[in-house]
Amino acid sequence: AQTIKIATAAPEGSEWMNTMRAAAEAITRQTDGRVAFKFYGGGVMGNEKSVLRKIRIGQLQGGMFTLGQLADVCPDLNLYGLPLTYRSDDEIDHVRAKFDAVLLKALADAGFVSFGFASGGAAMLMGDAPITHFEAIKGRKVWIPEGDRMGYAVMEALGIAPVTLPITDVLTGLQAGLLDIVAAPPSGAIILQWHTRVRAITNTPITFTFGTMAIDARIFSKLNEADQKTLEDVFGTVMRNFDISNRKDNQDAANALVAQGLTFVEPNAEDLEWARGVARSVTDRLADEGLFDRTHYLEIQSLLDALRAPATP
Amino acid sequence: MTARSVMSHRLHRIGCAIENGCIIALLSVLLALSAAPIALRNVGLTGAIWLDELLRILVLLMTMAGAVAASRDDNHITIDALARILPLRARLAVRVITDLFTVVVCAVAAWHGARFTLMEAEFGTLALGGAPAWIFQTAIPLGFGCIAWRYATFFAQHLRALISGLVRHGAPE
Amino acid sequence: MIATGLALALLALLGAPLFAVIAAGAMLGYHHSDIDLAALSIEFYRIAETPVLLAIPLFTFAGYVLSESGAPGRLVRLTQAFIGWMPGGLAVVALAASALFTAFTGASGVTIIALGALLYPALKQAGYAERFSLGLVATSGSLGLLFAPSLPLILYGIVAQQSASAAGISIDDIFLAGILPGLLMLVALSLWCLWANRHNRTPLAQFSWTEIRAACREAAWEIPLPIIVLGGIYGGIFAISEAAAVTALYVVVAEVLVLREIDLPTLRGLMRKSMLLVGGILIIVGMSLASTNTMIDADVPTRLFDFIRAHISDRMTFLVLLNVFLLALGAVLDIFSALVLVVPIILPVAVGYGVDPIHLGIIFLANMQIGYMTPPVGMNLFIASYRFDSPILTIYRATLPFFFILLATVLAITYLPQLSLMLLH
Ligand code: NA
Ligand code: NA
Repeated sequence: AQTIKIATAAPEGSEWMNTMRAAAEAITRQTDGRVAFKFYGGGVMGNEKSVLRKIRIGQLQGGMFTLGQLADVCPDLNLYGLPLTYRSDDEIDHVRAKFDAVLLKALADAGFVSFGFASGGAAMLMGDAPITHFEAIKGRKVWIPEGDRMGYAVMEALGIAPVTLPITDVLTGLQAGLLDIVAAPPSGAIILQWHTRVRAITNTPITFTFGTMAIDARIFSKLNEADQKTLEDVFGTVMRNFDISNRKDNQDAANALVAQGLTFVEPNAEDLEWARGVARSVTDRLADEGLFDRTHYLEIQSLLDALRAPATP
Repeated sequence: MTARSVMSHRLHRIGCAIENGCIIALLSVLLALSAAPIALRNVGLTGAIWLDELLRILVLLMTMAGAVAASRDDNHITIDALARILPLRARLAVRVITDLFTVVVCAVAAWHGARFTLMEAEFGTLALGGAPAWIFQTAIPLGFGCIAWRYATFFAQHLRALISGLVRHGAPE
Repeated sequence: MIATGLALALLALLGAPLFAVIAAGAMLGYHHSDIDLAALSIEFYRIAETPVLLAIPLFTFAGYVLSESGAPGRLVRLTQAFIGWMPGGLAVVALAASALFTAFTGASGVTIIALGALLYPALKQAGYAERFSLGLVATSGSLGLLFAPSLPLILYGIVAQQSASAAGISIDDIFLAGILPGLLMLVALSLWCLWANRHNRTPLAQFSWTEIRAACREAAWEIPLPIIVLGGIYGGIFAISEAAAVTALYVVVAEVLVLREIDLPTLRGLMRKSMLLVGGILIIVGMSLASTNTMIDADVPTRLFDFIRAHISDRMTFLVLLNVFLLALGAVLDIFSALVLVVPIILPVAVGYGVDPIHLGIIFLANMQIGYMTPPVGMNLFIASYRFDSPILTIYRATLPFFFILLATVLAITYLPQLSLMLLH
């Protein structure tokens, strides 16, 4: 029997872990015990870099990651996290219809088998006062997670001085005024309690986050074809369901925030256009620098441009 | 003094100077850089994005430098409850055993630390947004190697003392 | 398996460096589970991936500088001026100051180094018995864990919030819940200090405004430190994680540059001495990461808990066993590993037995706090032994009365949920 050990930052008892365990049990049953899983939740195996190292030496066979965390081994995964590029769920869906397969292939080339991506939702700006203009953020303290190179480059280009702090400092930072503004999807903001420290949310996606489960291709290729198919079917379904339910969770979370008295404000159209233009020139530059595949990047931009072009009769 | 002991004495002094210099330089940089983000932020400037990572790497380097220095002073944290109540000669014998144990453990840690560092170099892990991470990771095998060496000399010293004691007083029992 | 464990324990008792013993345990664990020993370095390298550790060298250095300067003397004079008229006054101040300090530094043993180095000579100077002083300082190292904004409190909140059984709890509630239990520990220990020193005939000082003014003027550079740290955090100037940097820099500026109590060669010596201790502590932390990892890999915490769960029938029995389990856990694991490892496993079960998730957090941390001074892996005991150059057995003996008092308060905290939940409702 092959035991596949998987690490994740998701805590034991979370929905993500419960679902994954149930799926793993189903696979063990369907493969007559030839494939078994062990999950290590709560980040006990260390951060994503440690987990990747442990996969390399064979202590672990897989992990659950955000796409940004896997970008070190597969730079193309940055493409779904391009800041201020996708303007709505529809736009990212449109690109995903074609590019999910491309990114899965890129990940496979990097030595990892994945069964699909689950959206964590659109991160939106939130702060104490309504933010309608990016121009107005200059001089305010905006939190950015450590190591987010793309986000950092775009913020610098927008003239914003980002503040990097450990995620555990964000809540007290917001309370004490060390931070003014954070970006998070509504459901994430509620889980981290950030919603208790902000009053207004700007209703436009800053970036999209995705999660995935990646398994060491060396182990996956050892399984017989039928078992590989079983894993693909079961985990593929799980990831698709997560993708759908996460979107609903985010919608529910947004409604809950409104019910709690937070306001959603619309960004100023002209200013947003300017910010998107700045972001575009930054991501163009990062594509030239090879932070991700340039051809794929240009293809995504042209897909989006075509989608935005007014329909011709 | 023989030429050889003069030589080893000089080497020892050079080693000490490097060690102390490393510690003082690391701590000075750590003090200055850990306060830098606060200062920069409050005048509206942005800190370098890799500063936090650099600080943490410095903590690792400091760990190794401090641990090597602690070995030189034979000043590692121990629970020597049993050893303290033993008679002098038995204590010396015990020291020989624990010294050897420490040498073996540190040598194994150094060996696998070197393998780890090589793997990371091969894989091309980056730190600070562009520098090869193995440069900093080398501190692990290097540090454990130095500690192993330190305890090897303790082992030799204590073994010699034990044997000469046995020769002088005859074997116990 | 048991034989190698005993052999390692024997080596530790015979005086092998603790880090080497823990490393050997980790190596054998990896070997036993057929895992490449490079995993040891992967875990050790997590020192460079754990942001909270930065506070350790900074606070340690600040503590060494403070203790080498005239600050301990000035602190004694100041506290004497304010409560010297009260028997046991300095001991009570030592407890309160340590609690405050730990709340900000997250109970990493730093309190003993930074404040203990200052309080231990002051206590002895004020006429307290050596063993009492040693026990007090070693104990006060973990006191304050229950007071906001201690990192373990925040971490518990973050871990618990993501479990389905406690999704609604807020970190502010946990902060509130910690206040009364934390005060209970403080008061109980203070009463013990008064009782233990009832025959202590240190001359009682007279209360005098002139003396208070003079003492304040003398400590004019030390008094602002807590104000700057607290004010800076709550005024949004810097984050809790940056308090150590501010403290260290302030101390260097005040004691070295302004007061000039420490000359450059002395400063160099302090740098080396303090970093020797930091190396000694962090190399153990790094190896503990690896040994904890081998235990996680082998499912040891889960199995331990499954065993307990199989023998529980009601809530009271559950709480009794929980205490036993957590005390045992605190004796072998560090608080951060225990938090991320065990909270997610016990939380759903505890909620199933009708334990409030916030109450559980306070129980958990109170038990872990005692774990800092429970042999064999009582980190604060080792640090005290190391810092004050006393045999570990002397430290065990010295902390014993304090340990039993804290144990009594932990039981009260466990069986009286109101203590934790009163301020919430
Ligand atoms: Na304390
Ligand atoms: Na303990």
